[in-house]
Amino acid sequence: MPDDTADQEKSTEPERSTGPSQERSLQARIDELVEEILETDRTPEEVCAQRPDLLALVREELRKLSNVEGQLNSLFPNSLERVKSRVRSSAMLEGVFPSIPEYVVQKVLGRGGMGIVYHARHLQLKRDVALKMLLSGSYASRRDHLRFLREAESSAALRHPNIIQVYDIGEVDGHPYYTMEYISGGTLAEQIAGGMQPARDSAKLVAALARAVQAAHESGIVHRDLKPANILMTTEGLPKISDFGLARWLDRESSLTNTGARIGTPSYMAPEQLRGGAAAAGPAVDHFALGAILYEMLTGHPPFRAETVSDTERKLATEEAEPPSRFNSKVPRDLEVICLKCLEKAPQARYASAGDLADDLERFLRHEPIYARPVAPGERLIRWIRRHPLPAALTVAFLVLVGLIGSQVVDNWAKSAASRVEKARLTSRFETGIQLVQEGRFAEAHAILGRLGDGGFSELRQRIDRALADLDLVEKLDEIGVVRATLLNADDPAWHPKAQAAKEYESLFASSGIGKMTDEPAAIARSIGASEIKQPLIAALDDWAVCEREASRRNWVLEVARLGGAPDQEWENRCRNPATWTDRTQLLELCNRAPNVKASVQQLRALGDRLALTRLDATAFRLRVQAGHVDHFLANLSLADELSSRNPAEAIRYYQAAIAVRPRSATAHHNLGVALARLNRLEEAIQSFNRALTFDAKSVATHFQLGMALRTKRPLDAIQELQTAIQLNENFAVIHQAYGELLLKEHRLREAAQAFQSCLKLSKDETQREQVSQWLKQCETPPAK
Amino acid sequence: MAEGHTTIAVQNYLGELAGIEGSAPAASIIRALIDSSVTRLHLLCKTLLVRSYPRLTRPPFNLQSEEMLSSVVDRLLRAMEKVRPATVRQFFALANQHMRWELNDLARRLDGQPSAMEFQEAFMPSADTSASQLTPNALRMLKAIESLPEEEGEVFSLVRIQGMAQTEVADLLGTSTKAIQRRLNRALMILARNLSDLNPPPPSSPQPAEDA
Repeated sequence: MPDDTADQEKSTEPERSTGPSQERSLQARIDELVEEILETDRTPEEVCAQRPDLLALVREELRKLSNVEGQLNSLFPNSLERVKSRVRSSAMLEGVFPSIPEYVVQKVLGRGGMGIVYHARHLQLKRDVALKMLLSGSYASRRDHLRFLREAESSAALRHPNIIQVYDIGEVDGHPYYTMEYISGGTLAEQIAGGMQPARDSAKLVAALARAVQAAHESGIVHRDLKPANILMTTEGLPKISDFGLARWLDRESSLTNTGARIGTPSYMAPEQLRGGAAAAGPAVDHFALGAILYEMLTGHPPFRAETVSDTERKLATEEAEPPSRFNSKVPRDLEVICLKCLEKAPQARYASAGDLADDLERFLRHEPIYARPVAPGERLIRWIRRHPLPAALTVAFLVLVGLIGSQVVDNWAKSAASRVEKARLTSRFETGIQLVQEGRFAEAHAILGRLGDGGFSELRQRIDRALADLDLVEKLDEIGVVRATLLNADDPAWHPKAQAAKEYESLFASSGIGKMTDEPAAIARSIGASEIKQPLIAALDDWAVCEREASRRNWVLEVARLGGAPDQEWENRCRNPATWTDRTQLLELCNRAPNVKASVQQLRALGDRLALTRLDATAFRLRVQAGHVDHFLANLSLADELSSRNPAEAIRYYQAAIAVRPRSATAHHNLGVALARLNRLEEAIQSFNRALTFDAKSVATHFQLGMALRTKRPLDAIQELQTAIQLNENFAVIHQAYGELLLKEHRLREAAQAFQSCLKLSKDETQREQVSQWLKQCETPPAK
Repeated sequence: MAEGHTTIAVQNYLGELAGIEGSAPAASIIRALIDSSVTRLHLLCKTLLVRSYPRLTRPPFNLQSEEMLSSVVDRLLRAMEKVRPATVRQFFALANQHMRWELNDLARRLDGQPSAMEFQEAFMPSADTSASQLTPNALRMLKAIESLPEEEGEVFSLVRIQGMAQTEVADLLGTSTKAIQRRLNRALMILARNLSDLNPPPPSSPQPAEDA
């Protein structure tokens, strides 16, 4: 260490007043500014408003300060950095907590340069709270102190499910504190942790945040420091914004922390916040921050970032954010447009309110057209001009010249720019439609794709036509998977819906040109890989496999699915491994790991079917699948089917959920009817069967079940239904038997005898044959009168 | 004695001392003040030891801070009992000086420790390289604190070394907390200038989400 330390220090004072050399007076000025920052709660930007040229130097000085401060802290754990000794040193080193009236402080949750957050409990209310104690220093003046308390009060008046509720404000030993809802699920920053979040989840979360921000803005409270670290997550995954209206009191922290990592990190700051002034505190800064949060969720990183703080600020001030799709190709175009609108440099170019942002996000989530428009090339030009006035002026002069020469050229250019925007809009709608197809939401996909115009773009027309054909195919495949679930509440050797489904899958794959069973699996997998509907096709293959009874055919289907699926889907591909097919240990292990994978519901359902095939109870597994996909039709239907025979009352709940998702599913109505009939709720069952028949009038099973439900109260109608069933398919012994029985009761002996004979022809079941033969005798030898 | 109570205790003694009004300071009060300084020193030494050489406190060395520090504390106790400061302010000035000396001494000894243990270390899987920088830094910091201008040095030592609250320091020196704050800030700025080339601290674990 230099020996002239003492001299240097002594010279600090006179420097300020006299300033012998220019360099010295500059240093003195910087010292004054730094001191001002340390003494008041003003930011470097505010303090340097008069001398913006010194901002960088002042920041550098602060950085050095915080570094040395950190070093001192590590050895002399105590106040200095605006921290009152008692609270910090005791909490840090001895675990002694401050005593706060009415609360018991339990432990330290977190600690920043500005304060400590404790987990505390309100004694009388027996309520767990997070208690944030601000450590004095920055609130040097009493006036500031009162101002803080007043703002905390207005923040406490905010009530919104997505805002951390401030309960109580107080002061102990000169330290202001406030208590708030205790949330234990960590922060959004921890959840993101550099990873990309699914687009729809991100949109949902930011929409909820935007609603909360809107509510706060309506109460006149602006957050000013929204960032993932400020969003707490409940254990149910509900986001909650913390420190609303109080952030400006916590700002100081970011300008002076021990690590230096957060010094004014501007990643979530709006550009106007860099400049300071009135706009820096307006609601639009929160709109920008919401966009930045959405951006980070989609791409895993904030929109503007660079090695150093000043580089980040420069980017923030001068560059447009890169489109999120550049980092994550799965980001839907509409969502990207919404996100970039929030990140506009000019506050007036962003959404007018957080509510508008929430509306647009919800429109996106409902697959409706959004209001935000992508920036047109012309607009981009104007922005460039604004940022670069001189070259722009030259360009304009040049353009005027060009205009004089040929205004036609410019005109055409403008037209093509407009048409490009139109095409982008249509393409975006089209992509939404494709996504709906992949999600199995056919009605909505039809609504969008069926009505979508091509705007005169032949290439788009072709894509739309192909998508409609794809949609048709996916719907048919899906229908096969659903219909095979149809329940027949009776035993009959001719009833094997799975074998039927396997046959239909085979013929549909062949007729749609994807491939035949004689083809090489690899070739089929290639054509599946090239398709826009790869996922639904593979899901259909997974379902097909479980419908095939013969191992060689099944293995062929499995191989196509394996080759067509992604090679890194380890779980999925193990499911498709023939060696695991009926191995109980492996099946159970696959089931246990299922919650951690993103397999299709079809594949999960097929796994459940395999459990049943190996005589394992699939109920628990199907319950888990349903819990993970509560609004998925198949997940609800297959759980309900599993429960139907043992617990029909419970099954009914899940059938109703399935019907809520697909009100027009004949199979769901039919199976609901079966469950109702099992509980002897015959009137309701009859209604369900009739509804099923309105959607599928040719279902043998439904006519049969309806007949069975009608037989005691309306035998004639019942006979009619069974007759229809037999006309549709005469191969079911059990239907002939029931039909004969009804006719016998009605003393229509000749017809009954015919029915019994048909039954005997089909039946191989000894008990059934014996029973029917007896009835047949009754028909032939009528009881003596 | 828990450190958290020390400052409260000091505050009480200050009050008591004020009540005595210039009469010869009661031996019991001086004794209590010494006690609190000693406790505080103990804490600072422990921090220095644990943060600088955590490895020394674990097997096979099992260096217990108590046994290592008892001699340091003993010396302070003896030195302080010899002096009979007339005012509380004087008392703290002396206490600060002695505590700095003792810390300095400890840091030097710790600095020498690893070389003495080099032989054993050869059998250790790895050395705590990050921590070994701490003691030289501590020595430099102590020296820099020593050479602070009088006003800044006094306030800094009371807050940092004695661990007093700013309001208590303000009471002791008969000035406002604002002035204390200002002197602390100035002390920090001077230290920052003189220690700007200090080795960066060992990478600490990331801060908990500060706004949680």
